[in-house]
Amino acid sequence: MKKSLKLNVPSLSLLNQGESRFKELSRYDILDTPREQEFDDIATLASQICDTPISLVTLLAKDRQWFKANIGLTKWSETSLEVSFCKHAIENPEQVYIVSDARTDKRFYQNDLVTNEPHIVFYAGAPIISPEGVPLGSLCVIDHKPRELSDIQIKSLRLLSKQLTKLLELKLALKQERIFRDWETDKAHFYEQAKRQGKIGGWEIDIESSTVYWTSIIKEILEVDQSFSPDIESFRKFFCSGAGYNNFLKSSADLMAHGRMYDIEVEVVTAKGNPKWIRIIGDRMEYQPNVFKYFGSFQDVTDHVTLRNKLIESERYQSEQATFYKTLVENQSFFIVITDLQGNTTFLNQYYADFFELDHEKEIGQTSTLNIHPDDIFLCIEAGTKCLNEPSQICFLNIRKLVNEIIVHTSWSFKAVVDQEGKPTAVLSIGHDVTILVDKQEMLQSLVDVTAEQNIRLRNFTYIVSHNIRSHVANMLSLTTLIDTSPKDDSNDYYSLLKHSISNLEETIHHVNNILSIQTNTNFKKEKVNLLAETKRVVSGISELIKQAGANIEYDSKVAITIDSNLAYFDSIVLNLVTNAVKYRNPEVPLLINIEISKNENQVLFSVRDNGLGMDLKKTGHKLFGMYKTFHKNKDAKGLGLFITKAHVEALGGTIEVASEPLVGTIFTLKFNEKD
Amino acid sequence: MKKIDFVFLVDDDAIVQFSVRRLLEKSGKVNSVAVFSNGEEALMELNHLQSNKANLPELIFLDLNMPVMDGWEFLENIKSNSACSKIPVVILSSSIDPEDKQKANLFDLTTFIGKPLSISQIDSIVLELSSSIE
Repeated sequence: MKKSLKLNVPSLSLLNQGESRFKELSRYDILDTPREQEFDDIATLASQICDTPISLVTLLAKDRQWFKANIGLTKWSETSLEVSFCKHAIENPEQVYIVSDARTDKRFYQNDLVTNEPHIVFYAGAPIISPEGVPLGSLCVIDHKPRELSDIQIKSLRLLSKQLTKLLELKLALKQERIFRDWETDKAHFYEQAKRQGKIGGWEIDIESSTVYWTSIIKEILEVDQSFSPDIESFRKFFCSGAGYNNFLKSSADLMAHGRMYDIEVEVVTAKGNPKWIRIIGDRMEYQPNVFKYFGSFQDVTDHVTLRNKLIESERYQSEQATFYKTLVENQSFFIVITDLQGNTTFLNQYYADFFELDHEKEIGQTSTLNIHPDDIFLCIEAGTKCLNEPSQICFLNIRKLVNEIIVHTSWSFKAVVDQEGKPTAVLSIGHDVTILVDKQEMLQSLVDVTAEQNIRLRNFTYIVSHNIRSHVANMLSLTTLIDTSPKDDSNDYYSLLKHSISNLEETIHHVNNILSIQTNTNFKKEKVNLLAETKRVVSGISELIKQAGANIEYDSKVAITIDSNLAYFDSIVLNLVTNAVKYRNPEVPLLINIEISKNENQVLFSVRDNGLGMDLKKTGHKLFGMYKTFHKNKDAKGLGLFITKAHVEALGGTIEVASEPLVGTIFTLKFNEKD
Repeated sequence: MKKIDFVFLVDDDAIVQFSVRRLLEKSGKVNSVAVFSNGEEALMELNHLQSNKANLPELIFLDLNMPVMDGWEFLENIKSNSACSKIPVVILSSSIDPEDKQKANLFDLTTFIGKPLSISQIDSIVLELSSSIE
């Protein structure tokens, strides 16, 4: 069993041996390196000691044997493993393997190296064993004739092969030292550069030896004493957030497992409590197979990150501002127009364009005053100029604009846009439609006007009523005084005068009541009144008066016009105006009364024109429609008629105007809004 | 106390014409009263007196609201006439319109008195008038 097992083992053990041999050889990294004197010297010594023409230092690679030293067989630098004598020699690491005559040896007589060049006959090989006990190859001597070796020669060969192992170790150590020296040089160079670039520190961690090195700059950055000696955990103390530390750990793990260099930014808090941003670059260096040093840079990028954050913040702010201004500009209640120093439009918002039915594109470059009411253009230019002259001022103005010839009232604020030096570059105008407001204001103003006028009239009315009542009362007082101071015989005279006074007072109060009833009764009945027919009916009622005056009445009415009116009021108006014309006729001229009824867009006009005495309106106009004011030498004038006429017209929602010239005639014109 | 010889009373109201004349006579301070119904009539009489070089009235009682020619127009006429402008005028009116009182003050030798006229008022007017003449 043991035997058969042993028979099977060689191939297996060879295989295993092969694996560890390749690993060891790769550690020395010696295959295919140039010839080296030290190896040649040992080979020469071996050939001299054994008195052979050929000596080799062979190393067994996966598929070949390679000669590190070669004495007497320089034609070859390597051979295949199949023909290798050495692969047999290493099977027993402790012994020198000897073939005295290969030509008669059953293992080698057919070997190509035996049957052909270089015609090996004698072979003796001492295995080269690594310090770990792995055979790497052999030191062998070869001859072209059969030989034997003395014990001394064999021992010498073994000693020399041991020297080869030491030589290999030495070479490897030298090489590592060189790599390390190079790395030190590189590192010094790296730190030098880092130093020049500012606050970049360097660090180095050797996991194997658990040593950590920080440059002074790292200590400066982290504000620790220069005497501080860091360990593997030191960094962690400074990471202020779990995320930063986790990022560092993950990157480090990546680097350790896959050799992936990292470049990260983490936030730290220094020993003195100052927050900082640090950029850490980490890499590794394999200074022995599978043995690494970790190193990298450590840079204070606080300013950079702060700046970058500010930039991001500012970009975000700007984008917010842009959205904000966009919203402002796209609003649907304010007009926004920007004009250059020449008054040409450089910007208008869509609302403005839409509102004034402007072609957005065509307006740019045009003068901005195009759609302004001609009377307001100068105001607008004046305000624009004022803004440019006093850039800190805001000018407010109201201008009328035209949309399809319809007036739109707009209210604007003008403000100069200035550059960084404070020089005006444009005028920003913001406005809105105030048409409704202006209309309301006008309505309010007209209400105020009407009220003011009514107040004046009311005051005059009070004075007049008071005057008239006082007149009668004064008379009564005078009469009673006279009664008191006179003999009884005279009393009858006074008594009849007193009665007369009382009846006058009663009449005055009656008039006042009449007037008040017109002005307070706003719920009187309205009905359709055909103006021409009704006028003719009223006139026919006073036909006798007209006939006596010798007056002629003309009617001028092209179409039948009907309005909603109060019949009694309208009759009173017509009666008053016509009798006035008769009363104040010019005795020198036959009286002609012209009554015209017409209609324009939204008003009905009713006018009564005569060729009578007329009046000087400059003198009496303001009191014409007052109460108890008379302007004629005519004794019938009571001064109440026009006052009541005006009250009637206004109660019907109309207006009355007068034009007159002495000795030419008078025309009264009534206007009724058709709506009413 | 001096008596006033001759005054004008200008008022369209018959009751005023009657009662004021009677009061003036009763006061015993006025010898004679000439009565007119409006400014025009009074003005015509003044012109007539002037052209006959007769005595002009020493005082005129004047109503404001009258037909044909009202008190204001009459005042303007006599005040622009040098011979008549020195005649003192007492406006007798029932008006409470402050404008009327202010307007009256614009004319020389013109006083505004609210109706009705009392005997004591006549006394003081005559007293003032005679002292100014003396």
